[in-house]
Amino acid sequence: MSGIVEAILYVLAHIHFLVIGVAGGIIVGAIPGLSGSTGIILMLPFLIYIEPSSALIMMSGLFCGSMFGGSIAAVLISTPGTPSAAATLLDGYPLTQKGQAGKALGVALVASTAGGIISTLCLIFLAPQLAKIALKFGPSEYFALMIFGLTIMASVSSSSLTKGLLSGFFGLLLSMVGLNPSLGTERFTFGITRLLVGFSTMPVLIGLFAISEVLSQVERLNEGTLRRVSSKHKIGEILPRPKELKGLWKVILGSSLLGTIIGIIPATGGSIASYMAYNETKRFSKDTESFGKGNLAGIAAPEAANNATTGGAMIPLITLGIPGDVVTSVMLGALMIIGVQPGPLLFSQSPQIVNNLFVGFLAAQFLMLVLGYFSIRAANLIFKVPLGILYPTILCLCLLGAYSLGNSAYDVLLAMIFGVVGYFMKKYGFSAPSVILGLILGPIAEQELGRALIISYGDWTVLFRSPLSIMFYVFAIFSVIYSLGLFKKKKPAGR
Amino acid sequence: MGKIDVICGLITGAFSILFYIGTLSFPEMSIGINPRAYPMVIIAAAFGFSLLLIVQGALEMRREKRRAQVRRGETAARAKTLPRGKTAWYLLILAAAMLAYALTMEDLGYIIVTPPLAAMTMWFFGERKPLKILLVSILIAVVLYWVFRSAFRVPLPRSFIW
Repeated sequence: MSGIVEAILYVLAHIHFLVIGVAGGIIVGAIPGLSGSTGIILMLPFLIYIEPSSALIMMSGLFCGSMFGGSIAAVLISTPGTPSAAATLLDGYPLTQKGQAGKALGVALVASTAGGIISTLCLIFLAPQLAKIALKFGPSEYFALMIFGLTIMASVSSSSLTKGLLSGFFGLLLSMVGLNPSLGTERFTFGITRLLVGFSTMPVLIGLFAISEVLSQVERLNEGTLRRVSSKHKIGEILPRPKELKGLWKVILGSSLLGTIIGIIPATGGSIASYMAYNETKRFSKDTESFGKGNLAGIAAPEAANNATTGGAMIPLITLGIPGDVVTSVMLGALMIIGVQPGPLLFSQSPQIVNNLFVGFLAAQFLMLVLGYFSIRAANLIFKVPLGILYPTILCLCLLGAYSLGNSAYDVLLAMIFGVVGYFMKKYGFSAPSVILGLILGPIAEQELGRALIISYGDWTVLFRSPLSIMFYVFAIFSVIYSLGLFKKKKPAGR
Repeated sequence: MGKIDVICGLITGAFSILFYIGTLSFPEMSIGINPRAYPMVIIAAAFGFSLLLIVQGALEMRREKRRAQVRRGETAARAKTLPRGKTAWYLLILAAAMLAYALTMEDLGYIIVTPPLAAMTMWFFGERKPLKILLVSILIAVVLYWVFRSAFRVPLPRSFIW
């Protein structure tokens, strides 16, 4: 109990980090082209200089804020700021056309907050229990878990399963450069001394996610596919009336629970949760005809669900060290950089960091309600941020961020190279998050494999003896089959 | 897109072969895991997926050819090719500018190399007012310098000027 009190005091004393995180999240979420993952990368250069707990709550605030921020662009300009907000525009934009943008955004805000609170409560109650189970894992179980984690790289790819997996294996290849974690011998350095330390996560993250985005935007602007968006719609009344909320509470509660469950399942994420919640709400509604024409339930359902995935996705991330989607993949990389190793040991070795995260995550939801209200009022201003100032600042910040970790121009060079690689990967349908997953989870998988084999004197069957290991392998197979199904579904639509 | 997939498959395949060559110099160990075992699994899988991508790309090229024959006279959907014309130049110049930035920042100093890069990027993003470009690019450099140097105590490379 004293831990929680301490955490409350800590969060109150460091509330400014949470404010920056949530406000930053809302802004990056609202600007089409930027997302929660880009937001975390942009904050990285600052995060490494603050306490891990503060960095963690700042990232959590950004994660939650970006989910709501995505709905601002979806409702006002019919362009989802983040992929998770795509379902919100189905009913959000029609309301804007009717002159009720404020009401649409107000419902989105309340639903997002409720979804976030419910999923945070699940996080607080479920994560410690799962961590207790995970503490019993041995090296073979951990190896199986990492294999399961690595199969997520198939599903975070957007265009092709082959390209998603190939991207992941590219990340795994990169992760092997440097020193062998078990033996300490040099490998794949090809005579280049700099490669002895391998590829640091920070410049790779900055290059693949942020610099590549700047290059893509230069291309889009010159090809005419990047429109300068602006909204002249009146915001009007924001907060929904009690009567309207009364009619929505069942939708919000159901969608929040659905979103939390989907968030817990690795390889899913906000987009799937919001579409599922939208479809289920429509299916059980007595007034299906009004969906797509500005039904408030059509906004509340996806928004509650996508924000509920945030708390859900944090459960496997902090207890097992495996991310559930793109943003949590980037978050995993960021956590490693700031010196926080997610996993069951985090609960036993650094319980205060976990408590601070729980309290910070809950506080972020309430803060989002307040900051969200003001951001709705100022929504039209967000779209007026000039691209000619925004992107040069992002580029300079990224290069400086890459430099600042090791005070080395070599890292700037790496970030630049990975920026170009990331640009081509994005252009040709490869997956940057898969590379990061391979780069981060690869060394852990290899280390655990080495440990398991040393303990068993080289007997490979040790990897398949434990029921838990077998369970993770089965999950891994299901994860790949699920991804295959997803891509089969996508194909006919794309043709 | 088929042709691009074939090229990408060839590049990643070549990358896997390069890594395979790298494993040949690994020492032999008698306990635990053979140092070659884990990398070989990853390399084999990466090579396998590269081959798969090449095959898929070749099949797609055939389909694209057939579709082009069927649609003769119609405007085909624009394929994702390498950037061309002005865009290609902008991207090349920006990449070269970043390379120059990385190579010269330690010798020339952060405050000298940052404004030109920022100014160039502003130009590529459609800013055309020289005074605005000059002032904003210097402002970006100075503000970031101040934040990192003063607030975070990052020893940014200094030059003969500053």
